[in-house]
Amino acid sequence: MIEFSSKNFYKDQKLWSDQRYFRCNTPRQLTDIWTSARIRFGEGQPPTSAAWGDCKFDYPREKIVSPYPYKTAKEHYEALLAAAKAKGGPTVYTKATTPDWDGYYTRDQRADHGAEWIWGTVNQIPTILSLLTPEYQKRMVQMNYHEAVDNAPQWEASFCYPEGFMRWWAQASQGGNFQLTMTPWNVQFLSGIAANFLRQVLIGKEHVQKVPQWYGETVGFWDGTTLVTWTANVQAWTLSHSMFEFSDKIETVETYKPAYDASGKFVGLDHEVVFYDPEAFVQPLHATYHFIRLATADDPNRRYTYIECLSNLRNTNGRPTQLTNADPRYIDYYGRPWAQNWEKFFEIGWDKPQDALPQDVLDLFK
Amino acid sequence: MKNLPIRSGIVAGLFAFISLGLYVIPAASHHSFAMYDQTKVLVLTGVAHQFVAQANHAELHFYLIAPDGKLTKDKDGKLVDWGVEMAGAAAMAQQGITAASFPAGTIFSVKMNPLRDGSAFGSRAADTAIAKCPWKTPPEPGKTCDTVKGSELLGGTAF
Repeated sequence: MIEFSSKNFYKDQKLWSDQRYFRCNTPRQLTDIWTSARIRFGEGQPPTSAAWGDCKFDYPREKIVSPYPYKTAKEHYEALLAAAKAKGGPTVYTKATTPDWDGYYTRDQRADHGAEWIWGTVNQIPTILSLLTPEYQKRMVQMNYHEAVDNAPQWEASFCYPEGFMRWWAQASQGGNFQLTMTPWNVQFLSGIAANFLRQVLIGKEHVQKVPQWYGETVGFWDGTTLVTWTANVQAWTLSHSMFEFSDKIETVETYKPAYDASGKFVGLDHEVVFYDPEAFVQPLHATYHFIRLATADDPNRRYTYIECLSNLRNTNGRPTQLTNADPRYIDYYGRPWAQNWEKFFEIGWDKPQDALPQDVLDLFK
Repeated sequence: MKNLPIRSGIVAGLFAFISLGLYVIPAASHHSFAMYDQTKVLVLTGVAHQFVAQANHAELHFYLIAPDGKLTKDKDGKLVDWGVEMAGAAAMAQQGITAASFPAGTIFSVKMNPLRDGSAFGSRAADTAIAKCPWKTPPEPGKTCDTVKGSELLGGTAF
């Protein structure tokens, strides 16, 4: 009955719709179960000593699925474009008139913005599974099992994998804490903490790329002060962290609308996204966010720091493990690794200067 | 700076204090910390030979000082090399922990959750400072840098 004692989750498929199979843990609780004191080492051997979550805790499925009637992103985007045209649009801006949204943004964590379900923090697992097609249900339970039972997480940043498109909305990726650059032809979002998310909305363009891109290809138009975008040509990947995978059929239609305070001052953006993925999702999914502008572009101290993801984690016997620098696979990124290679293979036995530690420090320990 | 790495799964001569029941979830982690045994805390003192300023998780690499106050060596006479990972380099810089503040030769003590497989690497234990000895002033044998007059606590208020 319980995943944590199952020897083969594939054979338990009929139980996947029962939240007790996952001990009522949310996806995030599962992914953290080995690091959050929720496997009790003193009361039996893990993983069967895994803790239970709150079986009454869930976020309504009807708030996750799209409220719109559209079956495809194309249909959705074209409907919004037709609505703009009916009003004389799309709106065309020049350098002088492009909305002044430039600056640095962060997610408004205080708002009930309806996107936490993507973070895996507010749902019972069967509720998330009910959004997925059978193949993608299987893949998600596979991830649940190997993270929670085998303690074998495969998070993107562990191995410097790409974050992947849907991770822009994930919690830990910080994809939603972005630098925004506005031009008449390109609206650019740049963000990330473990790897970079570069999203560019090409105004008035059409999709031309023939192969999937890690963050897709995004086109858009302006309907007054609302930016409407359509992303397609996305590389299939995973949300990881005991959530789900998505296919390369995924497409999104998004809107960004200016938010103002009581005095009429621009304070941020209201964002809505609809995810269309007929291969992975049984119906389109929906999320909303509010982004607060923390600083304008002329802030003297703010920068976007480009991320070079470097890692010495490798799978060892199926689990990510930090290599020590004694391991031949270890890459000493900050220690002139090219020179270390020459020294290891071509300078064997050479008489050369030693510079590991100051000699006067070494002398302290004689 | 050049490393003198050796394989050091050995814990012989390790100046280590192990406590049970402490669990840590590093903030803003980029990989799961499930590879570390968070029921154990090692207290190690060593001599820094490299600060690795990685954006995601900075690392300090050091040669281990044994309880007798000597640098630990393996059976081949090579210095035993340990590493500890911390938060990202930018966050560590805000705590005063940088390549500049930990040049090769810096003597310091740190508490860490070790790798489950026993190899010589760990994750800095939460809510603990790194104790940095004054330059060329190691602690008394068997003691840690926080006991040395003039030592600094970095990244916290208590060792």
